[in-house]
Amino acid sequence: MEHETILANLHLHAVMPNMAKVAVYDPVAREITAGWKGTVQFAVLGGPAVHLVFDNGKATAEREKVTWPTLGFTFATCAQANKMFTGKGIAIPMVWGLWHPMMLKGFLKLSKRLEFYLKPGPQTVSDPTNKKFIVELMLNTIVNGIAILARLDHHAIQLGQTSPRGSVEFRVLPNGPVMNLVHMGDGKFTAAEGPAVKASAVMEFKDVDTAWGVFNNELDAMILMGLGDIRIRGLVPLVDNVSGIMDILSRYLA
Amino acid sequence: MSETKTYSFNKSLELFRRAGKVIPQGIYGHMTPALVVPGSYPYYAVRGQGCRYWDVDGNEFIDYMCGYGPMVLGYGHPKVEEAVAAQKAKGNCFNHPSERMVELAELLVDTIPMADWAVFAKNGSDMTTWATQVAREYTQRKKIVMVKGTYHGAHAWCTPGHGGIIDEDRIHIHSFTWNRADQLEDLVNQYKGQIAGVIMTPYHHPTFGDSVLPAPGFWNKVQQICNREGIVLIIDDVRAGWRLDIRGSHEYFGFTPDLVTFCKAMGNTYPISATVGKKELMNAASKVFLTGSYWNSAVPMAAAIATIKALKEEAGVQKMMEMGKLLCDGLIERGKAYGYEIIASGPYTIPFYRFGIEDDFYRQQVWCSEVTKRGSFFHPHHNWFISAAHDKKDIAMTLDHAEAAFKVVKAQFGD
Repeated sequence: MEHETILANLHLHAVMPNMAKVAVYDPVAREITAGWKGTVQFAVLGGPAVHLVFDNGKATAEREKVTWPTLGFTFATCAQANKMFTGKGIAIPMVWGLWHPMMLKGFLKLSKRLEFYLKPGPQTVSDPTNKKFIVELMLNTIVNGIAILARLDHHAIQLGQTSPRGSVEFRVLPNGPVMNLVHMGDGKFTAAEGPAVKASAVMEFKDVDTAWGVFNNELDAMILMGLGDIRIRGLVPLVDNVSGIMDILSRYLA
Repeated sequence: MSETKTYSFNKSLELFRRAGKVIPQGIYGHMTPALVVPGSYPYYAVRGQGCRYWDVDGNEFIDYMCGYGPMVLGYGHPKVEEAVAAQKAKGNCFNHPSERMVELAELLVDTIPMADWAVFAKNGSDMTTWATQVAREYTQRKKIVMVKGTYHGAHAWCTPGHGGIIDEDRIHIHSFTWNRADQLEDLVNQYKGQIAGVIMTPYHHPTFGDSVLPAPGFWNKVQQICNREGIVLIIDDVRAGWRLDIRGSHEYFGFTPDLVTFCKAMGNTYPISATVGKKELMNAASKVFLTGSYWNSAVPMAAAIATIKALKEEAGVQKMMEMGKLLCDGLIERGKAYGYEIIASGPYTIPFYRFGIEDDFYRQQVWCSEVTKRGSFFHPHHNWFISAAHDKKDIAMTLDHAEAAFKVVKAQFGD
């Protein structure tokens, strides 16, 4: 599959769902979305789509298309969608729901709040609660991104298909976030929040700072493993292949 | 059985912390702590004697990895060290090879029935890669076939690593499943007249999994296909060589390859590898450039000559088999006493053990680290190596360590 298509899948299915988390976590975002009841969709014509469901302070993300969203942003091509998400170039989507001008205006503000956490400044990160939340967003992106790449990227497919079946639990100590990735076999992975039902392998980060350092490529994970700051137990070959896909992901989202 | 005090590894960790600042990964490759259970294993060694070695924290280990294979007679074996000292006194690297090179080649040709010639390098990867080039030169074909999940070294065409390789590195590399000669036949039909060489280990010894011996008739079938199609059969005996049969592991399994690569145990810890081949490939071999700054150095060649002679004189392989069997029987029996079925695979001299109850290594990781912390180095994911220096007392002590570790596993997992 071509690069732009894979990247659009990552943006829509791994990155965008974080907006639902931001809408719940961030006080500014909560204010913006207060009283919202409806769906906001991002889609590429004939390509991936994601819709966010807002319901009076609650927000969830669904990685599929709805026919009649309250607000809808549709891109003609994956490349157009990627331009918007990376900020590299101008991309004007077709907008559905212009008769909801307040929600449209609010959503644009909400997008800025997502950016605030995805590209955080030093002051944002200096708050430990924010840092933990950002690590949660990053882990969410990574674990979902691995599942997407294992389906779409040529090299990730190879790694996925040669992985043993089982589940990897990613855990940041002491209080999370926790996510799990299940290899159902034949390279098909599913990602979910929370602990694995029966983890075949556990990848445990000593603390938020350790996870932060690894996710931002500031620290060498192999050295952290040797020092015991990252602990891997169980089915190491599964973690090894998943780590290989994680490396591929970092190249897409660099 | 008395309870033993368990080791700590503070100095190893301290040194590793320093290493992390100046060496990528701290320790890279197969010795990376990430492949064992970090914190429960030594990272740096100081010295060795016989089948034992000591780490930087002063902990003593009975060694069941033998430096991941190179130690076969025991650390500091007198005959090897004597030969090394004698050559060292004369020198190591010159403008020319030494007499040792010719002597070693003659010794290999005399020892290994299929060998008509020999060449030398430093590592297994040097030789497996070169052997594939010889196959290509001999056949004037491009493709190389290997077995899925087999390790042939760290070069781009075969590395198990993910980084720094491109699709083109492997465009002519194809693989089939161990013991599935029918799949090899399919590949041969698919790429008729295009396959230069088939490279395989004498039995299947993947990391993180059971070793698998050749099924009856498998090697005959592989050899038959290669002969029929004019494909060079290359045996990667880097890991198993000198531990199954002094004449090469192919003799143990009863077949005759065209090229065989050796390393690991060949020089009893001194860096040397070799390829031996049939005379019909000698001309092709001479056309494939082969060299390295230290590949002609005399000291490791002197070590290799002494090692091979000592293995013959001391019936080293037989002794390793006996000690390996003793260990195997003992581990199975002690495991059983705690309600665990221990699955043993591979030859006694290069065994792989795991708990029958699991396929995710949780118990294995705890058990191996607990044994190691008591003084017998057990790797949780890689096959082990027995040496000719292990004796009954060593095995008995190790079985005590293993039993104490079974107790810990039992308590922790509540099985």
